[in-house]
Formats: sequence, structure tokens, C-alpha cells
Amino acid sequence: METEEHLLALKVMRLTRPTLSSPLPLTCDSKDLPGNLFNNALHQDLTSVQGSETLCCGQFLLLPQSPVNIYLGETFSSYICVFSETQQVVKSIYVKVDLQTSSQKLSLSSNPPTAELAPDETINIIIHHEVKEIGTHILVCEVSYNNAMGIPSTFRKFFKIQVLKPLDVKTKFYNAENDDCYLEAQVQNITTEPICLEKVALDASQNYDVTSLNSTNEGEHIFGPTMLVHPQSICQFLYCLTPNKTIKDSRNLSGPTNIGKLDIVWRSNLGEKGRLQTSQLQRMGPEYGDIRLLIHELPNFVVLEEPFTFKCELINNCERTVDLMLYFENMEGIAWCGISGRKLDPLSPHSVRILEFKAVPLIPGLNTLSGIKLLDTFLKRTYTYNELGQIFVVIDDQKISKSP
Amino acid sequence: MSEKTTPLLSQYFEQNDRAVGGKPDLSLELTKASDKLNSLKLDETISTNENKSEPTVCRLFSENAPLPADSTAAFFDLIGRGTNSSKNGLISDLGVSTSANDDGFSARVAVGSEAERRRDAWIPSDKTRQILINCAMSAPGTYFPEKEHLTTPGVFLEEELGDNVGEAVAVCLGEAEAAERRIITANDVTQDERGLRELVQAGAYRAAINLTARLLTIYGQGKGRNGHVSKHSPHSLQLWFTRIALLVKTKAYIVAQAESEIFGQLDKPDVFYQFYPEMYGDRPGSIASFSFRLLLAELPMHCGNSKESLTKLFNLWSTVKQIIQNLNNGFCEDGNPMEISENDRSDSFRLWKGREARVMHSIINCSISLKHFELAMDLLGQLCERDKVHRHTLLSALGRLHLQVGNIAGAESCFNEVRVIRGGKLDIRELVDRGLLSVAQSNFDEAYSNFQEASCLEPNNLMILNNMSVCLLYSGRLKEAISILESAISVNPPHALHESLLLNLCTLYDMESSKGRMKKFALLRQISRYQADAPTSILEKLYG
Repeated sequence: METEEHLLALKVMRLTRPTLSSPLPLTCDSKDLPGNLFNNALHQDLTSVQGSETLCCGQFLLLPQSPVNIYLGETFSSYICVFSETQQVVKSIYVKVDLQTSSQKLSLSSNPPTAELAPDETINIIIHHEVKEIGTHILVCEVSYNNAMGIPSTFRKFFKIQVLKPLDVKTKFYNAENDDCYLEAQVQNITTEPICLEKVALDASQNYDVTSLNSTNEGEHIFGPTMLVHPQSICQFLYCLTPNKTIKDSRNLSGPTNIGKLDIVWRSNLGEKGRLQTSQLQRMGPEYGDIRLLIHELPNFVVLEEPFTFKCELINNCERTVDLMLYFENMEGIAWCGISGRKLDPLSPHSVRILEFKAVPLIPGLNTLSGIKLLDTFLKRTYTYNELGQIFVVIDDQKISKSP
Repeated sequence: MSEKTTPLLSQYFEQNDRAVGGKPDLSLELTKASDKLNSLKLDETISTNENKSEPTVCRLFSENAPLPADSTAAFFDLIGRGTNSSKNGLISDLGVSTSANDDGFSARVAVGSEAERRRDAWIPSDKTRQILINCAMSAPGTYFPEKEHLTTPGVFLEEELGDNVGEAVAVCLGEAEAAERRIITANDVTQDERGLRELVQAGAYRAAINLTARLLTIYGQGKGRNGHVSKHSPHSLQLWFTRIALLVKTKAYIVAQAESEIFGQLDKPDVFYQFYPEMYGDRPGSIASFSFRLLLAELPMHCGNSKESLTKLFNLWSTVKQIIQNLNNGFCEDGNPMEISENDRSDSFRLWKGREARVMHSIINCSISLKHFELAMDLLGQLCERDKVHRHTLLSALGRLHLQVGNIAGAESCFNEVRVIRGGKLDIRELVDRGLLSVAQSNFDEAYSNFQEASCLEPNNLMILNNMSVCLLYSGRLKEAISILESAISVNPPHALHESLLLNLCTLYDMESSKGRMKKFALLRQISRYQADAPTSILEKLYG
């Protein structure tokens, strides 16, 4: 860099959180050789806390002694101190602090120029910047001033900062039998220190209402009161997304749809805060045709060889009235109880009708409802509904009364 | 040292005398030893020091850090005790100061052997117990176990430790300044444990380490004796405890680890009284003190191997729990079905509950160093439940633990609970905790005013002044941050020249100007004047 001698100099210190310092708790019994000398020394230590001398949870703030990583979403803070290296008075000092990222240059400080700096004085600047990019950042500090003769001079100093990725977020969608959708989000701590998740929330898009499924019935968080995540550990969150009632045409939900963003706030050492928001999470909705058939009511448990009923919602998504024929096809383990090849009443545009079905389970255990076929008589198009839902077939009816 | 400790310690010496077979001057010295002698010694040092214009370490210490009136009060005991500690100035004030009792428990005079049994009780491993039984069964002097069952320690340090502060002064400030430094050395005190205590009290830890090496030579456990069979006595093992503890205190962890390795977990038969029936008859228990066991269990943690410490500490805890269970079941501490009076039983119960709490503290510290914060929080929570008297102190520590991991809500709820328990006006600890909470929320101005309020209650509290200084830095007021620490040092140099405070001040000096080096030299000069010893890390920081 520059070898030119300057009247001013500049120092930069990253203001990460201080730590809490504690003494080394060395104690002994009064009958041991050192008597109470160790205990007294411990007690008089400035970093010990009265009454809990032997616990390393001190109250003494120690300034950061070693460099700490900086992560995306955290706030980069630095102390910039400009001081005089001369006995002369230096005039018109202007300090400019910029942060150069891979994509842009940000101005972090635009302090008004200092008119004069006496030999013992300093110019103190504190900058804060929430880092929003990963990778190399360069802090550029430029100091310009006039010497006693009024000759202007400038020098610059550069500091390199590497911004790392703090969290790894993985998401998975599950489409339920109704229009609900479940989002499973795995948040992994990829920093080197334990972090405390302060907030993990799904900000749903306008198409969905969201229910967080991460609390117990008593309202406590399933991960306990402290959501402490160790390095490399993963916390898994579950959300249920229900399509907004205002959406009339469910075809709007098919294909890729935005469901919202995950908003995560965490803290680490002595409250160092970080915040990240994922980009819009996209869900591939199932293809919805003109006609849809959804489970409306279905018992969880049914008794072997006893008829049961379930209800389905028949939805017409299109602009015309639809005439449908209903067929039953054979399915394994369950026999239909009803007429196949029956003509249904015409279904008007954008309307919903509840259909009731009856069937007899023939095999105990988990059985899948399939084999409902609808024929659009106008378009000659057939809709087949397999794997509509599942029922569990039990033998003893006493078990039904016990189960919820 | 108070009169109370002397008889017991001199008793150790008499026994040792027989064990070593010589050195009558030592035991003579000690049997004579009393408070009077000790104070005389200190007076001598003072008068010689006063002749010189420069204050020296020894004198300053005897003025500034006087021994508390009752030095017998046991620290271990107080943890389990129901005394309220927050109001008392000194640890030793907390113990019961009735001079009649032996262990600081009740006003009853405990029978010497009773107190000893209680204090020394330990449960050896089955293997060791078997050897001890063999030992007791055979005629005195006829049973010789394998060498592998014996503890054969020796001093590893080849040379005596020098004056590291003096060396730093010579390098930075010149030989002339170094020559003016006057400190107490191992040669300036009586060559016995009294002299050792004098060195420890003066903070001359390195000199004290040197003296332990000399004293251990008397037992055939000095330099190069590692691996040679020698006998152990309460005094020799106390010397080892003191030596290892001081090595840890001076952060000579590698040496501490090397020298203590031979002791293992203090489970070899020759550290139990039963191993020497010809000397101690049927006296049961461990010759090695409980503090020594704890120190050895903690040692791997200091050397960066906290996992090993955690295992050893849990082993220690399980034995302590067994002892407490034995007491509850109507037995002796070690499970011996011997009759003990109800009073003795409850005293013993309290002692071991206190020791259990101390072991738990160490486990908490160890899990913090491993960043196993859940374990630390869990144990601290357990301690809060069982110790209602100190609940607020422990809760406050738990709150700070939450702060450390960044759980602000958790910390706040702990501090609020402390508030409910304490009631009345906020005390210093609470004000500081509140300040720390503001620091965690990046609100340094509010933190500063919390600390300032605490400082009004106790203007000379250096921790509070330091925290104010830290807040000033984060608010862009570097010069003020420096001046707070500088004035704190000028008011109370011996106390304020503390490693952590100096680290902070050096960091600020580095920021302020290019003259930091000169200012650090000035600090070194202060250390040289007031401290007998300083951690190497801080000296290196001052050189820099």
C-alpha cells in the first residue's frame, strides 16, 4: 500500500459482542494446607460474583479478544478511530467509510468534516451494517485532511471481511387429501457456535392461511423454552397451509404457487442478533381439472364386514354445467355398496356437491379407497380417482369405541 | 492463620516426621508455630520494606488483603449452608465463626477423630478396597503390593521458576528498572508450610511452586523422583495438592498435567490411611483431601480436554452421592455400619451435601466450556430447586447463562424471578444483571446507566467500572472508556491490575493511538511494583 508518511492514522476494531469473564474457580477446605487463601483470592477476584464464586457465569464484560466470524443476516459493527501522529494541528478532516460487496458499494458513514484535530484528539466513528450478501466484503476507510500549510492529503485503508452462510434451510411439501398443504422446514445451524432461535415463522402469501404446528397443546414450544441449536444440528418445523376461502377456482392453486417466506431470527453470544428471510417458497400444486373429487368425511377406523359411509366433495371448476356418470371399479379389500353407472344430477358452474358412498371392508388393516370413476358425458372425458383416502379396518368393534 | 488450624497441621508433621525419619527442625518449627510467630514474620518483612522507598509486593499485600478474622471458616461448608451471602464482604464471614467448633458447623466441640472421619471419608474402588483389606489382614510391614498399585510422584520441573514479571521488565524497561523490583521469593520465607502460605498470600505463586518442590524433596518426591516408591502422608499429599493447584493458578497446565498424571483419580491404595496400619492403626479414609480429588478431576478441562473432566467429575459426583446415601441409610460415609451420633450424622450430611454442590458447580463449568449449555442449565436449575436460600444468586447465574447463549427472554424471566424473591430495592448484582441484559439487546446507553446506578451504590467496585468502560467504547467514547480504567487502576492498583481488566485496557490502548506501546509499558511498571506474579498471557500482551 502507500508508504507515504501521514499526519493521521486510523484504526478499526470490529465490535462483536463482549464476553462474560469468570475467574478460575480454585477452592479448598479450610483444613487443607492453603487454608482459606485460595478461597479468599477467588472471592477478591474482580471477575467473581458474590455468592456464586465457583460458577463460571460472571458479570465482568471482556472485550472481544479474538476474531469472530460474521454471518449473513448479522449486523457488522465497527469502531473507527482516527488519531493524530503529529504535534501539529491537522485541519478539515473528512472520513469516508464504504463497504464494497461483490455487487455494490455501500456508503456506511457520511460524517461532516471535522474542522481541526489537536494532537491528543481522536475522531470516533461507529458503523453498523446488516449484511445481506455472502462472500468477500471490503471495508474501505478514506481519510482526507489538510496539513498545517493547507496542503490536502488523502489515505485509504482496506479491511477484508468474509461473510459466511449461517443457516441451511430445507423445505418439503406434502399435499393432503383435502386442499391443505403441509410444509416441513428444516433449519440447520451451519455456524461454528450454538445459536438460539428466537423466532421461526412462516409469513404466508395471500393465497393461504397458515397454522404453526410447533407447539404442544399447553402452548409450549415443542423444542422447549430454549431453542438452542448446536453447530450442525437441525430443528424441524411443521406448518399447515390452508387455501384462503376467497379463492373460488382451485385451479389457481395448481402448478407452481408462492406459499410464503420463512422468517428466522436467531441470537448467539451475548445477544448477537441475526435475521434471515428465505426467498418465496414455491409449491407445485397438483393439476386440478374441470372436475375434482375430494374426501369430505371419512372415518379413521371401520369394522370388518360392516358397511360404512364416507362423503366426498364434488367440485365443478368450469364455466359450464356438467353432466356426470358415476362408476365404481373393483378395489382390493373393499366392496362397493351401491349402483355403478348411475347418472348424477347436473352440476352447475363453480358449484360443490356432497356425495355419499357406502362400502363394506373385507380385509382387516390399512386399506386405500380407490376406484371411483366419473364420466363427463359431454366431453366424453373420464376422471379416475384412485387413492382418495385411507381407512383402518379393525376386527373387534370394542376397539372402535376406545379409539378416538 | 488462626490457632485452630495449627494443632491439626502440626499433627500431620509429627506423623510425617516418623514417615520420613528425620528433619527434626521442621517439626520443631511447626510445633512452636502460632499466630504470633506468623505475625512476627510479617512484621519483619514490613519493617525491612519500609526502609526502602519503593513499596514491595509483600508489604502491600499484608496491608491490602488482610486475612479475615476467622480463617477456619470453610468455603465448602458455606455453599451448602443456609447463610445469606449477598450482604457479607468476605467468604470467610459466611462460615460460622464460633471458634469452638472444628468444621464450622455447630457450636458443639466436635471430637477430633469424628471431624477427621467425616472430612477424609471416601469410597475406594473394589480393587483398591481388596488391597486395603489384604493390608489390614497381614502382619504390619509384611504386605507389599505390586508397584503398579502405588502412587510414585515426582517433581517434573527441572529448574526453579524465575520471576517472569522481572524478566519482562528487563526486556521492556531495562535492567535498571528490573533491578529495583523487589519481590518475595522462596528464599525469603521459612522452608515449611507456613512459609508456603506466606508466599501464596503474597500472590507469589511461582515462588510458592518452587518452595513446594523443595519441601517435596524431603519426602523423596522431588525433582526426578517420578516412578520411585515413596510413602505418602497427609502433609506430602497436601503439598502436592498445593503445588498442582498453584501450577493451575499460574496456568502452567502442561506441567500440572504431567506431574499429576501419576495420581490418577487418587484411587491407589497408598493414598488411604488403611494402607499404613502401623502408623494410623485402624483409621479409615483418604489421605488425599477432597479438594485434591476435585482439582485432579478438573485438570483435563484446563488442558483443553473437557470431555475427560466431565467423566471424572461425574465419577466424583457418584461417589459423593453414594456417601450421602450411606448416611441416609444409617451407615458411615463409606458404608461401614458403625454407630455415629445424630448430630455427627447431620453435620456430615451437611458437609457432603455442600461438597456435592461444589462438584455440581464444577460440572456446570465443565459443560459450559464444552458448550453443553443444556446440561449446565439443567444442573443449575436443580441447584436452584434444592438451595432455596441461595436461589436468587443461582437464578441470577442461570439468567447470565441464558444471556451467554442469546436467550434473552429466558434471561429476563430468571432476572424477574430474582426480583420477586428479593423484593425491596435493586441490589448491585441485580442492577448489573439488568445492564448485561441491555448489552445483549445492543442498548449500550441503557446498560451504562444501569451500571452507573450500581456504581453509585459501590463506587470502588472495579467490575462495575470496567463494564461502564466497555459500554462507553460501544457508544463511541474511547477516551472516556480508557480514563475510567486508568483511574480505577490508580485508586486500587494491587486489585485492579487483573488479567481481564488489563486485557480490556490494552485493547483500548491499541485503538487509541500508536502510543499504545508506551502506555502498556507503564502498566508493566505498575505490575512490577504491585504484583509478585502475573499471567504470562498478559505479559505477552504488554510486550506487544
